Amino acid sequence: MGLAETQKALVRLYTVAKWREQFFAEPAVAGCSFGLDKEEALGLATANRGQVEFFANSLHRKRLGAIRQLLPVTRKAMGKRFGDLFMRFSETFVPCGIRKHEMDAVAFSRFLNEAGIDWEIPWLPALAAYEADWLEAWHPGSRWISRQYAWPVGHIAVAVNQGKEIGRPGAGCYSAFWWRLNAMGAPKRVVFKNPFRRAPNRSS
Amino acid sequence: MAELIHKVNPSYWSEHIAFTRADGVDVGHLAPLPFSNEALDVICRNVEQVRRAIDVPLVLENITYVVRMPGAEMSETEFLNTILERTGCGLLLDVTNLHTNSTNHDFNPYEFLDGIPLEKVVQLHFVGGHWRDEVLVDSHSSPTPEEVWRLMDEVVERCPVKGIILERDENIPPFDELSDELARAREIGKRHKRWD
Repeated sequence: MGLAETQKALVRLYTVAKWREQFFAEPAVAGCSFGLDKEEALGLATANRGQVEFFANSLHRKRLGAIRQLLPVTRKAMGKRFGDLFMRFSETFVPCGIRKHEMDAVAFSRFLNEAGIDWEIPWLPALAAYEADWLEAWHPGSRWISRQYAWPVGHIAVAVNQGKEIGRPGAGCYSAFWWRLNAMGAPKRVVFKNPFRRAPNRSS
Repeated sequence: MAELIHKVNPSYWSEHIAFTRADGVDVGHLAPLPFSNEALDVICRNVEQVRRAIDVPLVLENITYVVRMPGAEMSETEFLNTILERTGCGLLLDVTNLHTNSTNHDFNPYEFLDGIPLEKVVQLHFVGGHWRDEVLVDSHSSPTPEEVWRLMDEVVERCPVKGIILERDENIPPFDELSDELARAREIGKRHKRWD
């Protein structure tokens, strides 16, 4: 079995549910797209499907564990739905590189804002975007970031973190700026209601 | 990596016998290789390549695997033996990984120990995992189980172990629990005269 071709097929098997379905349904056809010949594909398809599914699920759970720590306020505000929506999202995106967990958190925040999810609490996607932007501000190369939100995300984040009642915050345009003078310092931040700008169209 | 190792100047450094990415896609975890001759050749070639950049001794670590890879041309112990023989690397034996694999894939871990070159074991890793859907998961999230302590005792008695690392990085308990586990590992080493 060609090792390089097998590894190409395996990374898809482990990370893409749709590809797992296709491969185990028609291994010769699906394997062909990664350069496996029929014999190699059929050989790989003798892998225990249950073991492959378990491993794939473990990878999603590992990613979830990492981004729960990177987006703690969003997680707290969303409760169980955070994990449910992440599992849905994680089938659509595979992060890579040494900052993959941050990349995952930022992409998940984008997913929460753009996937047409029905939100009972309208400011949740804005909160996720705010927390993801904060991650970006902490990135070593990042010196200056400005963002607009449709909700008072700074106050909401503090209230969620402290377990306080949030009530019904008013929508509007809220501007946030992060900056730092040197690459190693902690970023400074300010969030304020901006009377000179219209609220962004998106929830965040 | 070479730069970091040069700065830290450790006695040895380690890497897992596994792959984590292919074709630009990250698996996100250590994934097993088939126990095949081609995989052997690739590992030995990779070890040779890193040696050209890093002159500190490399030790190789066994991983846990849920998926038993098809395409095996030899047993895991034969695979491990050949890698260590051809590369001259030491072995970082993760006793929890051995226990986890033996539990999930129903083999005797002590027979596994009989099949590997114990004189090449340099260091051990240990911790506890958790059960999910009748699979033991190496999650580094719980106290070390008795089976792993027994394995560690056996290995330390038979191998010239230089060090042992507790790999608890999830579900962190009060520090006393961690220091108790370390004290127990130290005691095992003392009893077998591996250190004072």
